[in-house]
Amino acid sequence: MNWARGAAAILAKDLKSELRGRAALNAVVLFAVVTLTAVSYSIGGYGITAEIQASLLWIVLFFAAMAGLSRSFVVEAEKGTQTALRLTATGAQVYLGKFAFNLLLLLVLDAVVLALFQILLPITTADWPLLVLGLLLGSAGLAASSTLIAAIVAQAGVKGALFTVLAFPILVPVLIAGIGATRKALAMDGLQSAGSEIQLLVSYTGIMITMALLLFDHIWKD
Amino acid sequence: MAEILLKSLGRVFGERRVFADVDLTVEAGERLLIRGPNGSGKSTLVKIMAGLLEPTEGRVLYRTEGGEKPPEEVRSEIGYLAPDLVLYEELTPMENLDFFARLRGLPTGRANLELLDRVGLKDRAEDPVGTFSTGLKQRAKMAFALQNRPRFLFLDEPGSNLDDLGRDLVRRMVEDHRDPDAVVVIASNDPEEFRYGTRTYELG
Repeated sequence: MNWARGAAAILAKDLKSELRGRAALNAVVLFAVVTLTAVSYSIGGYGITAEIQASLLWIVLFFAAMAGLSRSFVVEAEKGTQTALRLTATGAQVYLGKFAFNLLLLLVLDAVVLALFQILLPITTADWPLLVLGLLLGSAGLAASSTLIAAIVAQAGVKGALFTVLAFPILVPVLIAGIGATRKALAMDGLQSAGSEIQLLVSYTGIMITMALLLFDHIWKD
Repeated sequence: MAEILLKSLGRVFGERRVFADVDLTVEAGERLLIRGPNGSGKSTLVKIMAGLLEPTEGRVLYRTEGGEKPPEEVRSEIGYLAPDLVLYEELTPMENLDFFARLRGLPTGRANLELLDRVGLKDRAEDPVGTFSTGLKQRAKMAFALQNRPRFLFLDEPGSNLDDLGRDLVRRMVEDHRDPDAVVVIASNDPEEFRYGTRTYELG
């Protein structure tokens, strides 16, 4: 269980560093607050449908995630600490540790965005278990692929812009399925109606994690 | 048995060739000194030998009891101290060493405190590395390099930014590796460090 021990050590280290610096958390939460506030002002008193509400929720989540998910790798590259990590950890340990950290960050973001939504664009009716399930699985998909992309981007010169540009086409399936599941939750269509979205999110996350574990040593090495 | 074999090694960065056709065997018990002018590729060669950089041509193999292996398979036996090695500045040296110990499957706590004592950092064990001077950071990196009791020790400009006491630590670090089954590779242009080598390889 070397991979689990190593991944847990990397997660614990990233959490400790984040609690001391709050670089990623501040970036994602502030982005979410600013975007949601701007959206709520522009919508004003107009009533919005479940479709629009679901899309807005995922747009805020996606761009806020883009603002912070690359941090865990980019910081290692910018500060030069990746040399020590390369000497001591395997690719699988690094990927899984960073994936767990990004997933936790996204779950905090989900909670903040949902709470802000209730204040600024109140969700009056919803199938809450389905809404939470869609967000959990969507976050896992976002974290699985963006962790892999962040590792690639961290080796490049123009990191910030490249991350969103590279991530967007790869994350389109997560966004479509996530928006679909959220829309069905807000429209109270029931869990069974969102079966295909849930399947897509589970499969996508599984495929991305498997692919990352197979490829990560090559990405991480040089 | 511990040997490092470099076979027709070459490295190119963009259009610039740093070195080519490096054929070398570093045998057990040897302390290889790599010398050469700035830009001759000393650090690049050390990084390739330690498995941190891929060569453009050729390959590096480690010959151990288990046969010939690429660097990534002997990672747990490699110690590395170089200017490009950076520890986590927001963590204390103790937290850094405990973190790397967990990754390496080594004991945490007391063993790492003893290591910090060896490099003269016991009193600063609980201060963030970011508050250290360059010389103290170099000492923390020495502790990292020695943590796994490496059989293959790579030292790139080990005495840089160190005071006399620190340089004495480097000397002891090299002397402690006079093991007939250990290999030490030192890249340096510092005449004081030339005496550490039992053999010299000139680059450039």
